[in-house]
Amino acid sequence: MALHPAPITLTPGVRSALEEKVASLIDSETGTIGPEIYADPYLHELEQERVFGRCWLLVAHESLIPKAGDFFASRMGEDPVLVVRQKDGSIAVFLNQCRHRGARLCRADLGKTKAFQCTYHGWTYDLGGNLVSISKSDAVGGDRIDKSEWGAIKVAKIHNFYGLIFATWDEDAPSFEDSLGETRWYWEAMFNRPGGTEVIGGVQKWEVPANWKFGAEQFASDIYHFDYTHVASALAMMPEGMEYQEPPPLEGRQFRDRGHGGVATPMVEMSDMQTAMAMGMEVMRYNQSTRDAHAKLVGEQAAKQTQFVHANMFPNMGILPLNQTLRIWQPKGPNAMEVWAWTLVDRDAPEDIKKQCRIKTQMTFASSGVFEQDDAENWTEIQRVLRGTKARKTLFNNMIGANESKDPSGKYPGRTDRAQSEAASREFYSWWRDLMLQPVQGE
Amino acid sequence: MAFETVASLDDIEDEGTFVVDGEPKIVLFRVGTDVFATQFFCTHEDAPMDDGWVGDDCTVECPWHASKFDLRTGEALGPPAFEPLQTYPVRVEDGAVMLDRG
Repeated sequence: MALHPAPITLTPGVRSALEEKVASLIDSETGTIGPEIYADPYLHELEQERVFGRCWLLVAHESLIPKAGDFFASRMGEDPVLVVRQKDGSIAVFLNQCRHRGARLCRADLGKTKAFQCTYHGWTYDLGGNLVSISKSDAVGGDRIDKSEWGAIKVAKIHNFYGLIFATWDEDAPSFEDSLGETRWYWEAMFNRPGGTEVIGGVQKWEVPANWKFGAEQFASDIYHFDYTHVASALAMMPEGMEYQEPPPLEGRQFRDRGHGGVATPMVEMSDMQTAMAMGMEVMRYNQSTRDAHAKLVGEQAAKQTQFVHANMFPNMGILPLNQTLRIWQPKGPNAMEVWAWTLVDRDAPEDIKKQCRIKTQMTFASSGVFEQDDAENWTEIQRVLRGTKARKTLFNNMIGANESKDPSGKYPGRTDRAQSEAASREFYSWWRDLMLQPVQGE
Repeated sequence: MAFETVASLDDIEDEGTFVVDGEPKIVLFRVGTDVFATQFFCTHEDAPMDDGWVGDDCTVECPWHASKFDLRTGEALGPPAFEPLQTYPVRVEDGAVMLDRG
């Protein structure tokens, strides 16, 4: 097993030096990025503490763990966690680490269990992560240890958002809904589906030798790259008999707040054509058939007038609603990420529609998806260049956009700019910088 | 020998368990139309056997450390347990599950 570089333990002095560095690397007023934020191992460590140690993070979809004892081995940043359905139907999330010598309590990716027994010395924990048995207790004096003090470390808060399970280590974290700020309308529209959603076909995991922020930032803020990065793939995906035409200027708005970002466009004839191209005619017709029911949940504007294109929930949950891929950009040291991707579908959709979605998502955005590979190629390219010291000192331009804050038509709520903008990227990095400058509990 | 009715067969899912409180506390295990009874705690550590995995080969696996027992005899089939589970006679008559605690 390849190990990524040993982690660095930060001291208060190093943290304060890093704070100065962070403040100098991100200038959201003029829109510049110092690319050391993608490659510096010390900043990566501070990011683990202050971004992943504090934010609400997607850890699972509830459809992965429908019954008592079902579990999914997830991550919160670099920390392994277990997401477990309890006997009373609730969900527990705790650090996947034995309190005795620190091995994982569970090495399976997902499954069903009655308890978690560490494979090293056999210490055993119940579904809630409580230590229930110190093995050979009588012989080794285990009864002198108060088991109630040695359970697995539990997260501070858990929230179920229309089937998406989020957790945070921060007891002082705002409520999940508050953490969405002015972008809440968009997430509600995407995830509050009639009958609920589920993930199908298993999780796909693949490693990309590039910092996780490249994926997150692009999903938050970047439709701009499409006509260049993906032109060959788009040509290859054209249905027979259709000609590739210059895309019309993109209507709609780019939303942003509290580090989140994404793009919503008007639902027009073209939107259905895009769905047909990406997902097939059957899925397009199915989507149309759900709009009345969807409108009852989220309103006419969200369900019938708006096509959601791409989004990133800060820090590391990405979604392409059109292509129905939901993913987590898992950090893996400063120089790599592991993408965890699912196909997200309506739970009540007919089986043949779900199958179509699964196949089409694989073709576009998945480990072997044609568009996915285009993206990974760019991110890997940048990371490789950043091995150079001159390159790491060279500021990136992040100034694209009209810098608007309100939709003149009033249709799209919250802070928005024109669709092709880097306002959401500036928001992403500015929020990231603010978190990096604020200590968390237990540093 | 004193059999008493403690449950109805319909109360227990196939390959499920049912706890009979009292002294001693006992677990019923259903496999098809057969029902078996053993002591409540595993003989290895104090794991509750009603949480165990019941197999259609009339076995139960401890929920904590995966020791396996034969439900018919109580025999320990796999470590870390070596001591057998105490078993109790069970009769199923007209859908009623009758237990003799001895």
